[in-house]
Amino acid sequence: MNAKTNNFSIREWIVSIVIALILFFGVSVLLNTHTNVTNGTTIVAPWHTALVSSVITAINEFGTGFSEEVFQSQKIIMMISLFIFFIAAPVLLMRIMRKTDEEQPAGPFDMNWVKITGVSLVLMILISAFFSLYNNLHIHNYSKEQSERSRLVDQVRLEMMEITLEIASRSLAGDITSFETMRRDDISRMQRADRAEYHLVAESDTLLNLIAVIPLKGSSADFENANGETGYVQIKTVISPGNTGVPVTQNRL
Amino acid sequence: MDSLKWIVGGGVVFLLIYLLTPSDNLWPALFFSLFAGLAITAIYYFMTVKSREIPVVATTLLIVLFISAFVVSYTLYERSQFQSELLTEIRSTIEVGIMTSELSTISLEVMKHEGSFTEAIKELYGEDTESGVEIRPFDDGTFRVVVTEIGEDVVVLSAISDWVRGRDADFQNLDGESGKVQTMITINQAGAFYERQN
Repeated sequence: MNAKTNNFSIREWIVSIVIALILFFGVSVLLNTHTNVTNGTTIVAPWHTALVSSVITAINEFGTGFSEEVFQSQKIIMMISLFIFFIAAPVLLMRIMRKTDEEQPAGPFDMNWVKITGVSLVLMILISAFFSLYNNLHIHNYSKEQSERSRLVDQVRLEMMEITLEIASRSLAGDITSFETMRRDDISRMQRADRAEYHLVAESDTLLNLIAVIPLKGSSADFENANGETGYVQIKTVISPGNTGVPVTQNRL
Repeated sequence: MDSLKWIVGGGVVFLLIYLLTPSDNLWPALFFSLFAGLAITAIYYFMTVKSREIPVVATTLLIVLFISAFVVSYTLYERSQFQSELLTEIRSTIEVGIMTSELSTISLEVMKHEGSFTEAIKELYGEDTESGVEIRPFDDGTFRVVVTEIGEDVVVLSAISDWVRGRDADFQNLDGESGKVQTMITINQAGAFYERQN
């Protein structure tokens, strides 16, 4: 090479970055069948392969309670990818970047293309890591927040089933004689509940509406809640002596 | 040729990792491979190539490469754990919801029945029904309902999931297994009272 033998010029850096980007997106578009482009393909994002496999395992357990060994092909792809990027690429990079006293011939456009290839390969996996982290930061945080909200609604729904059972059975046992005279304090579980604001609305002596207003904004901003406010998630269930109704969401998340 | 030996050696290590780690969870294989890659690269760096011959740019690139690989892998591993736990929790919520509904129906049927609770249970579920008997066998693959206590004034029923995991992995279920969803309902003269045990 010329005088730049032991250095990597800005021009070579720019070319390496461009090649790495082209390679990353090229491979992503060409080989990507399961993931979105910014997630990278399994070949350029081995961590994504592991993530997908564990999610599939969890889904299998969700449905059947069993996890199955169905990931041999993904495992092979992941190991090949790891071998290329974390064994072959680093060793080759060190080999080709090693300073020597010998002059090496300059390639086309007066650049060392062997070095550019090595650097591009390493940059490619760095780009993949960057996109994976970026995605994780945005998508994961959003899904985490959403799941917390859904979890609260689910808990309230279960709590309502317990409360309706208590009311229906106590009215059957004669402990509650009229729904019209019931107050919040009459139900032990409602006193403990702090996830939602519960309201008892009696339609008659034998027909009672249990309404839960959850402190989360619902899909309809104009929905009028039982507590006089608007736009919050609300679930309602109808109870009669000896009968528990099914909780119905009136304003969903 | 020297580099080729290292690459082939690394390939053999990766092959061993591939063969020795399970396929239903790829995270151990990923982390072992990254550690192996780091170790091989570091040994090659310090033993084969004199460090002064490696330009700073290459050293920096390699450090950034491994740090980012470990960071992104660990971050995604945490995400996978979160998603896995979330799915488990959703499944147990569904299970508990169905159990609550089923136990509510049974307990209200018992309460509506004329006579004592013992008579009600025996009439509804057979004369042989006593403590320890399954009144809702595990036919549909989700959970069973067992009579835990039976008396004139009180009946306790338990619902035990067949495989859905509950909150506490060490919880001892009534069927001798552990960690599965279990709920209980106590029916007495005052009403029916539900409790999630795991």
